[in-house]
Formats: sequence, structure tokens, C-alpha cells
Amino acid sequence: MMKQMPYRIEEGAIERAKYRAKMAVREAANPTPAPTHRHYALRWVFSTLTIAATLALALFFYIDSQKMDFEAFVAEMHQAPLDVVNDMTADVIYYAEEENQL
Amino acid sequence: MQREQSANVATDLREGGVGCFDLLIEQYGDRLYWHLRRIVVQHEEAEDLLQDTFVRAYLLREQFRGDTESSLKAWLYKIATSLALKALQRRKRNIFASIDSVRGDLIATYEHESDPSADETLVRLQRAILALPTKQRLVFNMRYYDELPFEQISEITGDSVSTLKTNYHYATKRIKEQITTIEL
Amino acid sequence: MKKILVLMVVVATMFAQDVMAQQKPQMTEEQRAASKARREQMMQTRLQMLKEELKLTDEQLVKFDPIYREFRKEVQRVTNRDSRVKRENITNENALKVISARLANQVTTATVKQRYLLIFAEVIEPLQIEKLYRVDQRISREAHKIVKYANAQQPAAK
Repeated sequence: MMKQMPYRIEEGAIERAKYRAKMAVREAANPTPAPTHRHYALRWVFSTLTIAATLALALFFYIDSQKMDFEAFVAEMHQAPLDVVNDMTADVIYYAEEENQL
Repeated sequence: MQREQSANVATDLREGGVGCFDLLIEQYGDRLYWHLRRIVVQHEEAEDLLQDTFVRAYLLREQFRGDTESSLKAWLYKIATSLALKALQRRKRNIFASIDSVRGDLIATYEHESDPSADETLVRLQRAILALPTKQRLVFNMRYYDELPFEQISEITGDSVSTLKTNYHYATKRIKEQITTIEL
Repeated sequence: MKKILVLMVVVATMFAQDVMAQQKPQMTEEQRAASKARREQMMQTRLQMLKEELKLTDEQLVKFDPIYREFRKEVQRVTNRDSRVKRENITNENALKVISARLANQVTTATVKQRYLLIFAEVIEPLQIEKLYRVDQRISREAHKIVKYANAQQPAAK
């Protein structure tokens, strides 16, 4: 008896997954010839991914080069929209010094 | 539906063809699905990996050298685990990052994939498990959920039994720490 | 195991406390997308600042990033903002509930921080974690001051 797993699962989902696996094995046993256009598409995808990866790396180094200490960050907070700043108050200890007034 | 036990499991696998694999899928499909889901969390990904596992097993059937049901089970788990870990590798935000860096993503994914009607204890346990380093999580899942012996897990992961036992020990310790962080 | 279950029922009860429900204004899809983009921008800036303040290496940062995002999401998720009642709105009838909700908030956020100690320890040094928690608290206090000042500038709701 399998232990209960707290994951969402539609009724019949595993049966469908097993059915797809059986179909996939049949396809592997009797492969249909791959269309040549797939190779061109793969080449295009690979080139795009390489360019995207290079740009992402460049962006990463650019962001990395921007210095940001705590005071600069607080200055940014003062410019930020209030709803964004409000999110950042989540774990403030409510009895802060300024609240300790009788 | 149970596959008939054969005197030679390897021969059975090679010569059984697609029909044999239908029976394998019936016999191991549920277990492997959940094993994969526990690693990748998302149903769609687990479903894809389940397909990939059996297709790979079919394509590599000539290489299977075991002679027991136990070794067949370990072989299938090994294929599934390897594919699942590769799927996790693809999720890394940076090629230089370790596989453990995807833990945050997995926990976030779990928030959408968890069963809202599930026992809260089980949900917390899952979150604690997903926060473990990958190696510890793997051995914990296979030991706790799949109830596999360490020797079989060793065949699956390639780690020594003593390493697995150590990882399992640390995993259970971390899980206990994580779910009992309040002292009254 | 039983003790674990009892502790978890206690924590679950604390999560369930709800002093005063507040209605959030409805947002359009466009507003939601813009809000999400602003939050992401702020998170990226925050991570850059943390990299500086904690002196994280590039390797540490890539591991730290997703875990820290998850940590902040979790902290926000467990915070019960309905416990933030203005002093002038606290009465004899609701005072105990308000205090209880504030204390529950402190416990739940501390629980999250406790849990993440082990997770952070996988990717950054203990001294860096100590500074992280201090910096995070300072950010929260600064943010609280900004929001409080902005609210004080506006005419009172009631």
C-alpha cells in the first residue's frame, strides 16, 4: 500500500500517463522517419538559445557591476511605489522603538 | 496485471517486445510516476519523464544484465532517477549553479501542486523534504516512500550503502528539525 | 511523532488567527502585471544590495537567489497584516485579540526564519546569515517608517 502523497492529481491521471508511456514505447519500437525540417528548426532553436544565453550572461555582468549598498537601497525604497514598500514590512517587529510611547 | 516471473528476466525483457513493456508499465508505472513526481513535483513533468523512462528502458533493453525482478526494478528506478535529475539540471538559473539551487523553485512549484484537501502534516513534511539537498532527498524518498533497501538504492544512485545511510540519517534529522521549530 | 503533531496543530492554529479582515481593492490585469514587474525590480535591487552587504561571491549569489526569494515569499505568506491595528482603534473588546495576533505573527515569522537557517547554511556562511537577518529587519523597519509616514500624510480613512 503506497503512502499517501499530498499532491494534486486528477482522477485517472496516472492511468493516462501509463497509456502515453505504452504509446511512446510503441513509437520507439516502430519509429516514423523524422522530417528534415525538424533539423533546421533545431539548428534555429540552438542558435537562438546561444544568442540568448550570451545576452543573459552580458546582462548578468552588467547588473553585477552596479554597486548597491544599504543606504543606496533605502534611497531606492523611498522612490518605490507604496504597495511594493508595504510588502517589505512583512516581518517588522511591531513593537518598534517609535511605537513604545505610552 | 502481473508479468509472469521468468527464469531469466533479461531474456524476458529482450525477447518480450512491446507486449512485455506494456506489462512492465502496468507493474511499475504507478511507483515510478510517484518517484518522479517526488523529484520534479510537477505532474506534467513527471508524466513526460515516465514516458521517457520506459522508452529509454526499451531502447537500452539489450544492455540489461540483471537476472532478478529486484535488479529489473533497480534498473528502471536508475533510468527514471537519472532522467529526473537531468530535468532538474535544466531548471537551474545558471549553468554554474549546483542542482540544489532549484530547491526554491521546487518549493514554489509545490505550493501550486499540493492537494488543498491533504493533511497539513503531510504537506509540511513534503515542504521539509523538498528543502533537503538533492542527494538526501533522493535517499529519503526511496527509503521512506518506496521502502527500498539501502543495497537497492545503492544500485540506483551509485553511492555506497554507508554514504546512503549517512545521507538518510541527516535527512531525517533535518526534517525533524524543520517541522518541530517551536518549543512550547 | 505525537508531540510533532501537537506542535504543528498549535502552529496551524496560530496561522488561522484573523483579527480584522480587510478588503483589498480589485486590480486590472494590466495593473497586476505592472505591480509584479515593480516587485521583481525591487527584489533584484535588494539582492544586489545583499550581495554587497553580505559580501557574497557570484557563486554564492546564484545559489542564494532562489532560496532568498522563497524565504521572502514565505515570510509574507505567514504574516497576518490584519493584526496591524492603529492604536486609536484598539478597544477593550479587541485588545487581547490584537496582542495575541501580533505575538502570533512574531512566532510564525520566527518559525520561518528558524527553518530557513538550515537552508541558508547550505549556501552562505553563518556570519553572513546573521548579517542577512539583521539587514532584513532593518529593511522592514525602514519600509514600515516609509509606509507610516505616507499614511500619516493622507487624510484619515475614518
